[in-house]
Amino acid sequence: MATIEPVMPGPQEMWRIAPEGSLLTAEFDGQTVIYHTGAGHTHWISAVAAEVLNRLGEGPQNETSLYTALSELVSAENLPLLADSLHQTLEDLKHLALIEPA
Amino acid sequence: MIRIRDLSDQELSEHLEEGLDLETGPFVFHIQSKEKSVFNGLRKIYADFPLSNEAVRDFHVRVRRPANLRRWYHPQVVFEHDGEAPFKPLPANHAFASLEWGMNWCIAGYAHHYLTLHAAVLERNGRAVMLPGEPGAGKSTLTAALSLSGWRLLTDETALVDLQTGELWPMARPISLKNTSIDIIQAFSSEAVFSDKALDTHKGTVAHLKPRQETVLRMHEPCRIGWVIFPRWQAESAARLTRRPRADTFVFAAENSFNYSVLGETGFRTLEGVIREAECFDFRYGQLEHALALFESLAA
Repeated sequence: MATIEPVMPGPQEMWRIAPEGSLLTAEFDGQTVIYHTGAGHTHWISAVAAEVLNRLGEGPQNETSLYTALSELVSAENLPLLADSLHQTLEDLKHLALIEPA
Repeated sequence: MIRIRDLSDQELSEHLEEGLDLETGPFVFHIQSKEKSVFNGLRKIYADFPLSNEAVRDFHVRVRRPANLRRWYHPQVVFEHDGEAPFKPLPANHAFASLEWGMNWCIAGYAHHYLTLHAAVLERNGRAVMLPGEPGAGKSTLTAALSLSGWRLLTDETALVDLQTGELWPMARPISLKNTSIDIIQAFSSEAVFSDKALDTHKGTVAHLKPRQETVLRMHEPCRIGWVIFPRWQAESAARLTRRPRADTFVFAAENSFNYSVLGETGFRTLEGVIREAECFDFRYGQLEHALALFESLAA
């Protein structure tokens, strides 16, 4: 029997912070630890993930607008890496149930 | 104040029959047992510990023989907390070890007015070093050697973090050593006093090292964290500290906490305070003497 892979929302799909519980953060030497009160899980997340959660904390956004916001924080030589990194980060955060499609 | 060593053998036996109220740091254990190895362990390892005058006891525990035929053939003992037996019976000669493990279990399972982390803690010059570590990393051996070299032992097993102040509280209990670690520490210091060995336990041979008198006399003195150090013994390795990211240390400590999840946001914020205040390192060592010299320089 064929299995159906879940489809990742495209760049225009909106993302939001998962509504269950809240996210607490602690930053140490530029690195971020996050605690999801809904699940009771703790994660050490990347700088990109921390910034994504920070932006989504202000309200739902799509991948394109997140890319635009984050690109202002990234040096020119790292810009080519940002798109892939952002896409992967969104997948990871969704997998951790920290964000979901809005 | 009456200490265990002030009791005659008969008085100690009578106390153990009726229930002996033992003060260990912030906890009072009401201990009942007729087992000889419990008597011997308390007499030898807890000699400096006071009996409590408090009306309230935190834990009621008992080590007794189960009422079955094995009472005569390969006798066993069972540890009870509030009349319930959380573990399977063990051979009777493991009675004192069983009491120690049971007491640890009580604290790990019920002391939720602290953040409890699986780590040893010692203090020197007013600052505490916390030593988390995976089994086999050499944590208890290093802890024992430090405690016999001028560091005040707060705990070998469970770090107690005050939820209000972030201070570390002593648990003031013996150090559990296994297998070759027992011989290493016996050879290391003539001042090391051990309980009788419990042979063929699920951890191998186990013996408990008597805490030094300073540990017991200062069992109500908390202190602030200075360092979180992850020790790992490695044959022929030079003693070397390498900085460990605080975020990584945080996650490890959280995963090795007994009640971080129970405490939720309070646990997160308490641990954040500890990690923020500490310098965090990985530590490799091959020889105890080199490790002690390095710790000495750290605390100077």
